[in-house]
Amino acid sequence: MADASTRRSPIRRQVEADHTHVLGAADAVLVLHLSDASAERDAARTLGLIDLSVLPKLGIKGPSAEAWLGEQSAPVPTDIYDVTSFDDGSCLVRLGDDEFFIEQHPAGSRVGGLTSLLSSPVSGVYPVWREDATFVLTGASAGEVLAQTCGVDMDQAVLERLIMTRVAGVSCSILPQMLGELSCYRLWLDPSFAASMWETLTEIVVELGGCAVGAGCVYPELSADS
Amino acid sequence: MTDRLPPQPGEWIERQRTVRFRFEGREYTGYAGDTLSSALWAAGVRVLGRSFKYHRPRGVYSMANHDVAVMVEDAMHVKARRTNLRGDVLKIEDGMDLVACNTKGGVDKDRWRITEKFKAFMPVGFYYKAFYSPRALFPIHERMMRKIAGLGTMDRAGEAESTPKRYDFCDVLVVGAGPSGLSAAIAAAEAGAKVLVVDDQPHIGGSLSYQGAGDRTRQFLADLAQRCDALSNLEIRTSTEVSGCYGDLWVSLVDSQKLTKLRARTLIVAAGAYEQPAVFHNNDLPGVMLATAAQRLVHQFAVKPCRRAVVVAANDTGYQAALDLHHVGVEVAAIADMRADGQDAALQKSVLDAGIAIHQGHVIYEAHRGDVAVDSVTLCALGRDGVPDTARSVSVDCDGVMLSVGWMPTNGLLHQAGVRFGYDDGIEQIVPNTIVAGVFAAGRVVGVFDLASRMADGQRAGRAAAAHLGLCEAPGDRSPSHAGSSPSHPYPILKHPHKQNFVDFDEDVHLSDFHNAHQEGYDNIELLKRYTTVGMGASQGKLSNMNAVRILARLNEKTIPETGTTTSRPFQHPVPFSHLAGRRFHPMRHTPMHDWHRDNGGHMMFAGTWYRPEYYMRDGIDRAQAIVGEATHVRSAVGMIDVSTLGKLEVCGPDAAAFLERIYTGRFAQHAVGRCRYGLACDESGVIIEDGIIARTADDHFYVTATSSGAAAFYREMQRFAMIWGMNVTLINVTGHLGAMSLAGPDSRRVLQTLTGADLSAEAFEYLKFETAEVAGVRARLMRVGFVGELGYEIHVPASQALYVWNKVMEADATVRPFGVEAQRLLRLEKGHIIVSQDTDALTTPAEASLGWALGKDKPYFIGQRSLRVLDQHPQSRRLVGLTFPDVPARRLPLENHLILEGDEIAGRITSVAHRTTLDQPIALAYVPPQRTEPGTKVQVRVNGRMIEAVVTSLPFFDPEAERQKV
Repeated sequence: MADASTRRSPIRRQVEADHTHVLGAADAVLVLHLSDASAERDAARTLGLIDLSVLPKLGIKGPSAEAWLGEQSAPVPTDIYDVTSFDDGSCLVRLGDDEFFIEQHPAGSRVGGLTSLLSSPVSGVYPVWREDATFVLTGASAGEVLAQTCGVDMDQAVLERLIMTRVAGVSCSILPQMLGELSCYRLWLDPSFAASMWETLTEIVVELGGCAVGAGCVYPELSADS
Repeated sequence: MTDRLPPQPGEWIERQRTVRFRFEGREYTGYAGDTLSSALWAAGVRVLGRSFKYHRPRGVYSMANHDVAVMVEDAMHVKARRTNLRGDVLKIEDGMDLVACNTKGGVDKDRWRITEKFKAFMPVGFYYKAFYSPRALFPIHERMMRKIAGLGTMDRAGEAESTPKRYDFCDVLVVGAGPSGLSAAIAAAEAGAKVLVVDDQPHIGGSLSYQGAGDRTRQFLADLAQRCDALSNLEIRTSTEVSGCYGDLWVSLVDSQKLTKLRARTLIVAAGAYEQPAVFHNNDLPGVMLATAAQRLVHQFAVKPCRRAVVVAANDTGYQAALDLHHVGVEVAAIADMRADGQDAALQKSVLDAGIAIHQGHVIYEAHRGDVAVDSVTLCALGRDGVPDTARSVSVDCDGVMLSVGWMPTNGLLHQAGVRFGYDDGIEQIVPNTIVAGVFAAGRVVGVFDLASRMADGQRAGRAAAAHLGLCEAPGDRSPSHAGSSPSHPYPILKHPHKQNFVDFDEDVHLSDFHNAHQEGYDNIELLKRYTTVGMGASQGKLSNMNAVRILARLNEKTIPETGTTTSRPFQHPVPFSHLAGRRFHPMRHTPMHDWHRDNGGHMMFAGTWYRPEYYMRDGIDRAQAIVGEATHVRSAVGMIDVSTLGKLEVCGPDAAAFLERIYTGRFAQHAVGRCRYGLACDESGVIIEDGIIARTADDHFYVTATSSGAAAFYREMQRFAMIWGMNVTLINVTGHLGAMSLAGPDSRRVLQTLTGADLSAEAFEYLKFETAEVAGVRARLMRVGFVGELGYEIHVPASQALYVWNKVMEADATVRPFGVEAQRLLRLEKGHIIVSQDTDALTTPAEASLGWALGKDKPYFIGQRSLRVLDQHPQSRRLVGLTFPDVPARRLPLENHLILEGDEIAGRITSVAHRTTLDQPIALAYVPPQRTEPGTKVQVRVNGRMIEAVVTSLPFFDPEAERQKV
């Protein structure tokens, strides 16, 4: 498949297939389905693993970061590790007193807009290149995958509240969330570990009866067949 | 199945499922649910294994996971031959092909049994005295002993087994699913706690499933199980061992599939007690077993333990065992009761009504061997001094001897959790005497033996655990006291002139071994353990430690509290190596161009946590040719290397320049925006820890590169110092978020210019300039640097776009060729550029590395400055120089870390060396004494025991005026 995009997921090759259904968005390719969409949605309810790494991201750091985000009408989370959503569905995570992380919704444009605003220096606000890999574990058995890879008790996890920990030996941020009716864990990690992490998670997911699926399982509105 | 009983209520076997398996080459059948031992015993097989040292025949002894002489290997396992499987708990499966471990010629005709003939020459500790000299023979002795004495052998050809490892969490962990444990679990769960119960047996019930397992106990068990089922917050895991307890109540659970690391908020140990053997002559013969082993055979597996039994009792449970045997048709010839009185009157009447003779105040003096198993015993009256009176003896024919003389609490986990113990003379048992927050115990482990009392004690412990969690009020009651005679005999150990009265069945340690060790001065329990190896076998002393303490106490003429016990450490039960290893997590970092490298012949290597292309394989050339070829191409045309592994840090804020002035040895306050500079960092002792290029991108913003392997630690150090100094800086680590490539060679400018609008001319983009520009339409950071000594540019772009840019550069000109890590190392070596941690070590100062020029000595402060000033007052001991090797044949050239000698003294070492270079001569970097740094000085290098001559050369080896990189 010809790929004219300039950006690509760090594990693009692992999820790439001739029959992949893709969505070209934000100069990258988002894999919507790896196989039959309906079968994938069924699989995702049990256990699915999704790569959303191409979603644009932005970090904002600095003593004036909170105030600047407020000026941009961003829904700034009050507490560290809390997560809020922009009106386009992009999420905003508070990582510290002066540190924030934004991941754009597949249909959103928030990161591009904020990046443009920061192309000129803003005192006390420092944009941070964020190219994190984004993986999503979906379904009823997603917690078991984390139980085998992570020392945090996910039964105690609070929805939409970030957990910073290690998964399979790699520093990760985990966001428990509901995507539609699917119970999910969203993992963000350094992209250089993405291939290793994907391999490990896939091995466990397959052992537990799950499989890799496409983004269409959690963003059905993007699928052509929806 | 000659000794299979009719169906028993509550039996664990499934009679509708017959299982066929092989043992020692013969085919047998059993039922699903049978263990190897139960199936073989039912088939009339009496010799199930051989002992560790003397290769004595052994049979069923505990049926409780302690029969370590009955160890087998499963040759038919799918991935690798499994070994050291314990027959008393190994579930038989169709198609199993099992052989006994530690035999030569099979379990029946084990040729190593001859060792027992030489036992007089093998007293305790004989190997410490016999084999230490001459040293040269020790490996031979070691191999021989390993063959004769030992366990199974590892299948080195087997496929590695990957097992999961998981984490788990609960409010209350209850160890033991017997009456105490289940009662505790129910109480805690009813108070609202999330409760997990684990038990090493495949079914719940604990002693309810085999001790006096009549209608009443079955009803107790059914009621408990029903109440457990009704509680959604109570989970029970059977066939699960607790192998260890660690700090903060981290507990390791082992089942057949995996190891679980469980964090419990509270721990209740209700694991019961191990029944203990009596020590008498031939107490290990097949047919001699613990009374509970016989009861397990009967009630759990419906196997008749023997035809005619003698029960040796020192408590009332022995009477119950005799009745259990009587009820299934075993002729109980006699009970030898070591007690003169104190028997439970009702039980005693039941026994007598069953026609069983009771010999009060008697003990078994010796068991006699028939063909392979016991065929009779000699019972003696016990004198007042506890010594058997052989003049008053009686011989009884029997094929089974059941021992019920005492208990040892299953207290290993409590030990590991920090609980300390005392000794209760009333029950002759070790009991807890200190409290650890969050740790509770119930049942036999604390000396409560009566069933109703155990259940009440379990409830108390469950409520106490729930109260500890704040879920209910704390119960006020304590564990009930034991009523009646002691469940354990204070000294069930009998001397015998022959040395076959075993204390430790794992290691074949007998009573006289203790006497010998004590005579040799081993009068401390920990020393005695190590000298005799008592308790050091596979069962970890579960059947021997208590008797060992009793023996030593008597030898020392001290009490048991004065004697003490050995220390219990994890693991309290063997854990398969596959479980310990678990799934291997070795996260490796990939650069964005990783797949490209592999597609294009990249020979990948590990570089710290990264995969990097060492060189690119090409047809018809070897590694060395490839490396020199890549380097030569960079010198003559243009090459590109993936440097995404470089540490990439951002230092922002009003104090950014001042911060870097402190972190690095050089100057940054006046560093111009748009310029790069070499930075060298030391620790507080003045030792080099990092170097890299620092670009000032704005007045309040620096972009810092660091070494691939040191970046993470350096970033942490930066964060630490930022906090210590309280400076207004913001630090960002973007190492993995940016990809980077270095385009180098005389044609690099021409190639790169086709992809960017930035003016790359020598005047506009001079050496060490930094600029943000678009490359192939992607926003990039461009730095003109010269690590390899050529005109070159580093291009840093977002990781997701790095492959795109890499491809565009490759496509821009057919002459661009990739080069790998080794070519880069060669090129920088020719330029005399160091690699921190290769050409420096944990003591190297800037002056030693010939980097004194990088120090801003008149700066007010930088990390390590004070130490370097102190060191300046002392003579230098070494200095980094270049070496060449004229007249040294290639096969004798040194490798990295070969030593430079002056006479017999070490004078230095080679840090980097290249045998083939673009300069047509081998070169090296090396540390030499200061007096040897003058170019032309000759030094001696030891290579494989022979000396070669090297010549000190001025650095760099190539382009000393740096004309090529500044062009």
